[in-house]
Amino acid sequence: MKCNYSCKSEAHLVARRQFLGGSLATGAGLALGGLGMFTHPATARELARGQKRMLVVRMAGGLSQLESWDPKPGTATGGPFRAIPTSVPGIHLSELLPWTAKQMHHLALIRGINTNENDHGKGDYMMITGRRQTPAADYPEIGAVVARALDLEGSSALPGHIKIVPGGGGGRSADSAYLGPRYASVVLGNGNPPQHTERPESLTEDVFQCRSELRQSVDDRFALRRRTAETEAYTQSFEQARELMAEREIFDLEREPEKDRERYGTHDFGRHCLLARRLLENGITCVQVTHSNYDTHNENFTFHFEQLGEFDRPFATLVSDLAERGLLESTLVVVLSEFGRTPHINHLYGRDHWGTSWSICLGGAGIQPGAVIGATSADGTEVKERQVDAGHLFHTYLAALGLKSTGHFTIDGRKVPMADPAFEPISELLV
Amino acid sequence: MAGALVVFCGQAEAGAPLRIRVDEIVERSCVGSPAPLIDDGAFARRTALVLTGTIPEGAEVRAFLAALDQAKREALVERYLNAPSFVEHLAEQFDVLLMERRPEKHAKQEAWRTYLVEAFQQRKPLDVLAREILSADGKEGPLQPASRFLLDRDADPHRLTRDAGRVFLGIDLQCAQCHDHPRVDDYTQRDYYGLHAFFGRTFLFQPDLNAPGKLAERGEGESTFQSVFTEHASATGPRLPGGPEFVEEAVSPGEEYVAVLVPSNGGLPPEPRTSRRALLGDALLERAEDQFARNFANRLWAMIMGRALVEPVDLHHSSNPPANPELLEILASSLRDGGYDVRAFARELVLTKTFQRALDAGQDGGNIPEHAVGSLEKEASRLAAEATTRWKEARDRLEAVETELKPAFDQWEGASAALREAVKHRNAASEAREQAEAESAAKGELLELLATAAQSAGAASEALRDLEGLDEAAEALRARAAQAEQEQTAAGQTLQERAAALAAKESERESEAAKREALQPQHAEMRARLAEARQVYLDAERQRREADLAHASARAEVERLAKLKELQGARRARSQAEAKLERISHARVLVAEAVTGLERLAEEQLSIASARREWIAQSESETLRLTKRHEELRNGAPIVEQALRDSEAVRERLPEDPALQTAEQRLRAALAKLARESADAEERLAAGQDAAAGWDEAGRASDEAAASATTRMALLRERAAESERDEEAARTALQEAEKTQAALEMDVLALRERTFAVARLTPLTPEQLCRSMMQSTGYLALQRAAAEAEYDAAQSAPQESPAGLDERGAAVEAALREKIRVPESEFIRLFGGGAGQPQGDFFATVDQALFFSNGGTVRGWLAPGNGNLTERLLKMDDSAALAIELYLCMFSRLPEEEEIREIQAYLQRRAEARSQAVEELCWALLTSTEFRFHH
Repeated sequence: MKCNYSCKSEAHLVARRQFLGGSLATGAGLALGGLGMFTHPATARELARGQKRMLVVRMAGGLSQLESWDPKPGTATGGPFRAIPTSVPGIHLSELLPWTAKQMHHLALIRGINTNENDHGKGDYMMITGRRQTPAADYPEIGAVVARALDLEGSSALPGHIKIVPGGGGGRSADSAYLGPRYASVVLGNGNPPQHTERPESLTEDVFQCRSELRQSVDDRFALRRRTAETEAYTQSFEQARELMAEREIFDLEREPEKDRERYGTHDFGRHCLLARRLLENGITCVQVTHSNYDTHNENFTFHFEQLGEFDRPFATLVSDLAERGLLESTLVVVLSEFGRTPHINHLYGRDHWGTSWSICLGGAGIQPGAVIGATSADGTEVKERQVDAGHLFHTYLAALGLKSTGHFTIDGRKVPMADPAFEPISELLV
Repeated sequence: MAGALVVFCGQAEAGAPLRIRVDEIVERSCVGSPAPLIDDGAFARRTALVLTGTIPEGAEVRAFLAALDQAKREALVERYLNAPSFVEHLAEQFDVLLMERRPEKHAKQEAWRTYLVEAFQQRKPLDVLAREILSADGKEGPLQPASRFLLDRDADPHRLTRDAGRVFLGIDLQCAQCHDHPRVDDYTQRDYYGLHAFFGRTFLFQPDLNAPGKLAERGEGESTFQSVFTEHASATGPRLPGGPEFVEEAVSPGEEYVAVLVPSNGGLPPEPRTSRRALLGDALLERAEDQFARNFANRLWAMIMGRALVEPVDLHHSSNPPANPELLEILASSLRDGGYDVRAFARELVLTKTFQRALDAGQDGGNIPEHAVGSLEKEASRLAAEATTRWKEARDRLEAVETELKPAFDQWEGASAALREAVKHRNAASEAREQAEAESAAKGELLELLATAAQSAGAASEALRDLEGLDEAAEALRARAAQAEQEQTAAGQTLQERAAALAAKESERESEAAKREALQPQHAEMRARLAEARQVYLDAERQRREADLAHASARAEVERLAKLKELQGARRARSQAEAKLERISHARVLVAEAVTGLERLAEEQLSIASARREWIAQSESETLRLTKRHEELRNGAPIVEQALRDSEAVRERLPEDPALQTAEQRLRAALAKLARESADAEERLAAGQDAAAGWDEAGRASDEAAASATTRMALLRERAAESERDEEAARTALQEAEKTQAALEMDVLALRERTFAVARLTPLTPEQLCRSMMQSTGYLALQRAAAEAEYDAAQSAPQESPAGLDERGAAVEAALREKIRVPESEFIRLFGGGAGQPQGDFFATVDQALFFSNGGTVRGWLAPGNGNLTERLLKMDDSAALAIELYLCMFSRLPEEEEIREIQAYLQRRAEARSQAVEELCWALLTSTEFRFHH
């Protein structure tokens, strides 16, 4: 059986560009994407080399700033752990992060966050959308904003926004609000590849190709009657599907060297970090890894000892790998939570929700390495210097990625600010 | 069939059916000539999709194509309009329109959907539906499900303001929440808060966060606003955009609630005397009916025609005019005058020619109507600018009045608040007094009882002195009674105190009421002044809006004409470029030919010259030889003469010597020969010299000719290269011109679509796509049959009456919806927009294609079995017949010759795996563009 899969002819592609270009110029409400733009996937990857990327590590439940980025040893609120020096003289981290401490020269800290929000859902929403939750509107998450803002006119069949979460599940989530489903994240439950990327066993590659060719021929005939940006986007989605199937291995950790798998660790978070590296290297714009769970209302210290013990090495390895491979220059790394934890230690040796004075860690792309912005009081109960809110952070992420954070998207003829116009980036943190 | 077009001259009568009037307007104003009408198969598909939400079954298309009935299209439309699936599809579309796929939160989705289905079954007019939804109170009863619109938006006033504006009036005021809309003059903050005032007191009452919330409303609270730009502060009562403020029944402060709220009844929502939200349904239809009708006419038109007249559907404003303002007005008035009957309205639209226009481009009509659009536009622009100035002046005046009156208003509001506070205190005092009264009464009763008991005990102890303990008992009771008396006195005192306190509070209240009353005349006057200023402002706003709309329409017309002219120019430029290319190509060919000719000529000349040079060389060597010979001869002659002379001298001596004679003769002969030869050589030499001179000249000429040919050739070659360059440039220019033209052709096609001269490709909604796929593969028919069988099995006797059949149809439709819920929700998840986001945007994502390519759902429908499509096809031996059945089921049309051949070839190629090949065929058609889009 012979099938000449011909949909990639030059004429096809040129004409398509015209159709799609036309639609983009008129700003039709159309979403598309795809390697169909290039004659070879490698070209796309080559073009994407200068592309900016983002990695978000979500410390679900609320990481304690005191056991991580802003230790206060020897104070009433400081808890039992010591502070250790890092690769940047003068900066100390909690002793729970020895590996990360060695990477500090690639990273920066923001220690003066006051989001004034102690609710998991609302805090999460603020930190990930850069806006306070209001019933009157939904806002897209940072990953969707970045995927959309950095989209190279649909240069990749791969999703622009991927979330790696513990546990099962998968599919497209609804986190892109008005930016539309094209930029919604694809969820990889426990790091498994996206749904339906595997050809059913009953279908051989030949048969798959054969029926694709037949569909293409039916489409070509119909295109003689009417061809629009929408029909092009639709036929293109099948080509993208083929590309994604062909590139399914980018989700396959077995392809990573045994040595790396050892370095990252065989536990879930280690595997997820390694997968994040693999995805970023393959041109995914925004990857988010979730580490769960830090909601330590009791036994805060034991839990942080365990959790950060799992977090520290894979995260530090990932940062160092990105730096070594030259990717950190173009990749923004952010470790965030919905809020911090109370300086006050409760009677169950726990710490509770605390949005008043806490920290995040970030680095790469346009972030000044080794910077520390803001400071809290000696006992960590209030911000003493350079107080910032979630809106500032959101602007800063965008600015670090080379975007004009005060810019806007045009949605259905309406202009929507990319970030909350009431805030601005933390300019002294940017290179 | 390509029906002949009837072109109306003159306007249709106002009383003519809507379909006639629509066609008349569209044909009069569309860009270019209208496309031909679609054929029967396409009509059946389009109509079924629009009215029943799925493509027709293959067998139905086959029958429809075969029917000879002249009025079969009308009959089909009627059948679909009366099918239970019409109601189902309409309910589904209204569900999506009203809820935008929000998840179930406080209200039940299923009950809501059933409410909508029943509403359309009962032919509930749209205005009634709107009123029920907006005024829903969520109380138990048949209308309880209607509260989902409000409840699942968390009853949040801002969300409701935005969505009620968008859904019911087609205006999205969100950007005017914090200031006047920066780009749309029509949308003001005043409008936003006017609409907000209807919802401002509404809230979600949810004492138990784990149980669903309920709708509740407060009895007080005003909508005040301040612009973040100008910082002007203002307030407004409930009013609809562009309309006057509602005058409400005045409720005295403190008297807003039916029952006085006390903290202890926290489990119940407050009960206000008046509901602002309840006003909205009526307000919408009394004060804004034009816009309400326009909005729904536009939305229904979009559902049926695949494209709205105002796009986006929720941005009606004066700088976004309808594609055809006259048409929208006719549609709106017709919808309103027809009593908001959706079915009747849909029938008229589906029966228009406009609905039946083909997809194929048709003529775009090169003739541009030459009327004075430009000057009309200028005039409209001037009027709009004037109206805008007047409007801004009116706004400034209004704001000045508001600023001036603000202190007085604050005073009035202060007095009202003080009164409300006083009433609250009075009510509290009254409650306290009542408590004391009850307490005192209770104590009195107790005292009485104790006194009686003490008395009885006393009597008993008197009577039975010897019985021990009676005395003590009587004494104890007396003591207790004495204590109770004290208590009662105290309670009486408290009561008196509380009564006094109440009197004080009451007098405070009276004093506050009097203070407020004293302000009343001043307040009434201020209200009047403010109302007047607001009215002036609103009039100016309306005039500005109308002028802007007229201007925008004129501008659109000008742009349309400009676009057509541009296209004409581009077409001319393209054909000029074509002609130029042809000319240049022709010239290049000529030059190339000339070069070839010259090459030949030069070659000839060169060969002649070289031949000649050869000849010259030959003759030169001959001359040399002759000259030598001639010299030899010339040198030899004297010697022979000498010998002869010597021989003659000897013969004088020996005259008769024969030998001598012979020798002499021989010498003489030799001499003669010598002379002859010499003469001959001389002659040949002379001739040779002449010839050589001639050859030389000819050779030079040939050389020159060849040289000149070579020079000319070089020149020509240069020219040839030049003309090749010219040709390349002309070809590039042509490509550019073609590109420009193609872009403009697309623009004009878009204009033709926009003015309904030609059909448009519309993506199927997630539900349409799912149901159509199930329909074509035969899965839907199977599920329907199962639902019918289940229904019939549950009935004691078969339903035969018309009412019974209707009931059966509706019940089967509802059961069918349940049966396909799983695949349908999968389609909605993949193909639908996000929850709470507008659902009209098309997007094609990889996960959709992956779902089709590798997912189990579609593969399941294609596995042969239960008489489904693939099984039926597999039973057909004739592949041409198979192709026909396949095309009827998939595309509602007969295949073309080429398409039949393609299928035959495919099946032949895959003869070894026929079953799989048939599935692949179905898959390819099912996932094709022709299936994905409605055309």
